[in-house]
Amino acid sequence: MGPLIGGGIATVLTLLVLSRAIADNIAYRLAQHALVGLALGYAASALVRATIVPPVRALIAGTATIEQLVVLLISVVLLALFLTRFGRQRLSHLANYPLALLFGVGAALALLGAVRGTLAPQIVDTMRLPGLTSPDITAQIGTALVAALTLTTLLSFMYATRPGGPKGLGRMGRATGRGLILATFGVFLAAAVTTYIAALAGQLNAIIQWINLLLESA
Amino acid sequence: MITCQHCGTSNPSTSIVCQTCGQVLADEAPTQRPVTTTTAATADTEDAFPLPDWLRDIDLPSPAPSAVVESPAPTQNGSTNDLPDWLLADTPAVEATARGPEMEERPAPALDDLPDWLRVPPSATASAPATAPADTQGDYELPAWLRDTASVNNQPPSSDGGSEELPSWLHAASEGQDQSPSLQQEGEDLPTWLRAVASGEDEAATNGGGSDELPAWLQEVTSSPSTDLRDGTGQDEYALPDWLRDSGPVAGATPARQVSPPEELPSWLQDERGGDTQLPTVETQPQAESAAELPPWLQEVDIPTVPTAASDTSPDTLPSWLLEGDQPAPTNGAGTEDATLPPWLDEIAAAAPAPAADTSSNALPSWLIEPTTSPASDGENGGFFAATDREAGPEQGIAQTIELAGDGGGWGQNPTSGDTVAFDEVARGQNSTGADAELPYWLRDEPPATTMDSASPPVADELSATDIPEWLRADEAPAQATSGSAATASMPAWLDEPAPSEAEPATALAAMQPDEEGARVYDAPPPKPATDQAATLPPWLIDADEASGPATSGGLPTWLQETPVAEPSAPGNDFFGNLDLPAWMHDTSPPAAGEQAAVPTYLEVPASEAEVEPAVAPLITPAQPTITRSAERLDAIALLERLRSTPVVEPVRVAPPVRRSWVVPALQVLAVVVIIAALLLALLGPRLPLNLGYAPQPRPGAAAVAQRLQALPSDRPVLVAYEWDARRAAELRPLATTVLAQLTARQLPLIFVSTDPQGSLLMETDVRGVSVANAAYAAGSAGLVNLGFKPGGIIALAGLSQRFGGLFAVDARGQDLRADTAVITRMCGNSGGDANRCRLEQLGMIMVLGDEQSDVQGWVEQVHAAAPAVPMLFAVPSEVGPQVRPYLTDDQALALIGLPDALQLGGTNDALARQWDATTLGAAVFGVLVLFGSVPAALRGRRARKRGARDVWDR
Repeated sequence: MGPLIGGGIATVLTLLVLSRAIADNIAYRLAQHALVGLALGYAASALVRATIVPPVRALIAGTATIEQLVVLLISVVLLALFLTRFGRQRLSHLANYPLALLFGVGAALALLGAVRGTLAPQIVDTMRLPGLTSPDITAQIGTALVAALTLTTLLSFMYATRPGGPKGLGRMGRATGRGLILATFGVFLAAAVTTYIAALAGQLNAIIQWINLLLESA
Repeated sequence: MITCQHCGTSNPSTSIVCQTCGQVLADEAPTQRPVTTTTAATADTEDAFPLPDWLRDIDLPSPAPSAVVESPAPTQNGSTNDLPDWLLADTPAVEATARGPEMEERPAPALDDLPDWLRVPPSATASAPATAPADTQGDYELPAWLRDTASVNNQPPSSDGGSEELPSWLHAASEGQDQSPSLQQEGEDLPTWLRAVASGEDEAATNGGGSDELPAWLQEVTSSPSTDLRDGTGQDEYALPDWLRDSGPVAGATPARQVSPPEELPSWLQDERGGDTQLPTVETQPQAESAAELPPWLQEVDIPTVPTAASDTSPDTLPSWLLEGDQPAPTNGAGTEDATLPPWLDEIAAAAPAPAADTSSNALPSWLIEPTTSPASDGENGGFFAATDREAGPEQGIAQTIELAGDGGGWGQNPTSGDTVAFDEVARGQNSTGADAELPYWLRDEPPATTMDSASPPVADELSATDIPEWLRADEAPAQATSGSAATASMPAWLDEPAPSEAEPATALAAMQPDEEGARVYDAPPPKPATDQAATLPPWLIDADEASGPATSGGLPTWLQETPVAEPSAPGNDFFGNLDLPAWMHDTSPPAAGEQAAVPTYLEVPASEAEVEPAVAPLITPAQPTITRSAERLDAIALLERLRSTPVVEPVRVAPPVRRSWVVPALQVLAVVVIIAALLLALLGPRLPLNLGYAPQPRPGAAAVAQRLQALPSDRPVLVAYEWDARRAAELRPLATTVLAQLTARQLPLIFVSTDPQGSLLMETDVRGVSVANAAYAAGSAGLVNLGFKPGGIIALAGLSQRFGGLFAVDARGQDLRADTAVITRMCGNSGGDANRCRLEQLGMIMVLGDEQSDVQGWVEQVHAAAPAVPMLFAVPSEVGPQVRPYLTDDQALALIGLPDALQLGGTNDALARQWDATTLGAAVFGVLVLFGSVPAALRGRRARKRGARDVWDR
């Protein structure tokens, strides 16, 4: 019964969303709002359940450790400072401290992770010198081609140029770079289309399964 | 108040004419005139101050009053009673001319009314510069203001005309100049005071016998015990008017008589210097010769002798009564003098044993004879005409007389001398005592006391400022302003002459050239304002009303005020142009032969009309050319006017109507329908041979992952992170199912964790399925740990990498797994059950199921960077596959992308294979639709580029 009901709700919601292909309608809006609401509701409940309930339960049960109590105390202080944003906001500036702590730590971690996990590895991979020394000729061509296309793409972004644009090789290089960018966008588009077509196909497959289930149950 | 006898209207006492009917009030009973009036003497005052007979006998002709009323000049500013008869007689004629036929019906004064000295002998007419027709008797000799009279006189004079009103001595004169009046006629016509002179009687006889006929002022003189005019020693200074004292020498007064004190002189004749030593004596002048040759009043103006270069000396610029003596003047001898002398003056001339100066004084009418202050007291007489009688010969007497008058008379004196200072002062009332006492009563504003007492304060005070002829005094101020000398102030500008040396004034004047004389005579300052002239009229020309009249009426006699003061003079007549002279004096051009001289405007039209007469000709505006416009041009003008008047309508931007085209929505629906149809075809239909009969190529990523999964040690846990949501469930769920199937197949410990809320939900679903499907992972076993959702994103990932054991503090159900030694030992691998010793490197593999590039990036940056040796497998949908390729540079980073990898890793799965076929077919259909749709899009872009639209790269 569960898969039948669940499959039925999923089928209805799927049809409501697909109705948007014809025009914007209330059925689409209903399905959209239901999805967003359920997602936010579940996220909120998950956050409360994952962050607040465990320490409080431990505190109430008396099983909380000192570490848990310190973390809980710090969390309560930060929460109290952040609550100053509400109400008459006489002490709203105090909310800047937990926000500063949050964004400061997050920015620091993001910057550090970007440099360490993205920039350096990708730059090194782009200039993959080992590929040029590889005995595989295709690897050598591929490494050289990646380097050349990367430079061409970067050269296509000329923010200061003459009114008539570059001449000669510059004009051709810029056109090549723009072509590579368009090809990249095409790849991204095709990947996205594949994802969405796959999602549509998966949803249609779910509907078919539900119909089969419905037919089997009937 | 004076009651008019004609209409009975009460008029102000100062009125001369009735304000209602215009009749002359002068004809009224003299007793009705106020005593305070200056000129209209009452009977009492006449007794006390008898008028001269020639003034008393003046009786306006009967039609004259009404005519005078109509005449603005005398009516407003003057009184006919104050005028001498020779002036009064003209007034009706003038008015008659101005009034037209109506006035002509009135008996106009005949030419006979004019004194003979105003007439010109017919013989002299021929030589006159401006000759008139013979029928216009006297026109050529009369001034313009008298020519009208003459014209009127062309009519037969009526018997009751002015001839009856004129004194006899004027009647006699009017009969013809060549006709010598007999003594009998003189005895009948002349006043007694003239009759006596004519008969050669001495004054004593005259005084005794003719007291009734003599004017009172003569009677007083004669009756005074000390009035010996001839000795000049014991005379009463106030018994005789100064201007009559000049006649003393006629009776044999010594010419060397010392200058009389200033008190004896009338203020308007009094030399300001007053000093005897300053006054030139007449002894230096051969006056006797000139006196015998020509009557001074005929010799006074000798226009022909004056060069005509100076236009101001032309005969036309002078009144004709001043020009009368011009004709015979240059060569006149004694005989000529007799011919031109009126009979009543011939007597004087004949009986004059005195020097010429005295004789000349007697020849002049008494009112023209000026008192003298010189020892001879003769030269001061006739100063009025002194300027023009400096020619040698017969005119010398007059010239000398004028010279003396210029010295002694206020208005004939030398302008450069200081003689006029006292005169001015007298005129201003500063020295009025002596001046008033010397004036004849009829020249005074108010009748003096019965006794001619010099110390009479009223007389002195009142005459101080008004006894001077205002029309002569008007030039005082300008003269002072111009020359800086007070001498010229007391002299009329047109009579002003430069002062010769005081020591020898006559000599200096006699030596002057005619040009100089003319220039000096008429050198005068510009006309004064009317306000200054108001108080300068002589009393005998001032009407009683004038005192209260407008200020503009003063300054000149009314008969002179007709001419606008500012009237521009003729070219080359700058002298007269600046003078307050009537127009006829400005006219320098002699009238042409046979042409009647121009009549002054004040004689032609009433002043009221003359005033409104524009001074300048009206500006004639040239006629504008007529513009003929064509119909097209008129239409264009109308259009322009309409456009100008009509407000510009602002263009209102109306939104174009929205065309609800069903093409695009239909195409969209069609595309969706086609895609769905393709998917359903792939899902519901038989398997499509999409590989065209060829076996699918193995994907390197899936194969590598499979190899790694197979190489994982059995005691090394695998950390599975769910970072995806339901949107990508179509791809990620097959991947998750495939990978978990590989892991559970090998009974590898599994730690589930998620940083995404939906991921934790989806993870829970899969954990439950794994637990159900495999007993090793059943609930309560140590093969599987669900840590649940870990909030904080990258922060949680960073904590995971730094404190991996801390993940076990709270699991999905809220339990702290760190105390569970079995779990910690199983999950941390050989850690001895201590969670704090758990490390990432103890993991066999980290598998991240993510649907976004950020998920891969976070795990790579925060976790893989911390433990690069731990293999990391990314299972992502096809959409994110190309984006995570850059992170797959490390050999420890693996990826499973989309359904193809899941299908290859999972093996044969019909449902998953059909789904993949549907996805492939749907993508192919989508590609076809894109190709079809790109054709019109390419054409549209090409047209846009042709229109100059910017390229997509330039936007």
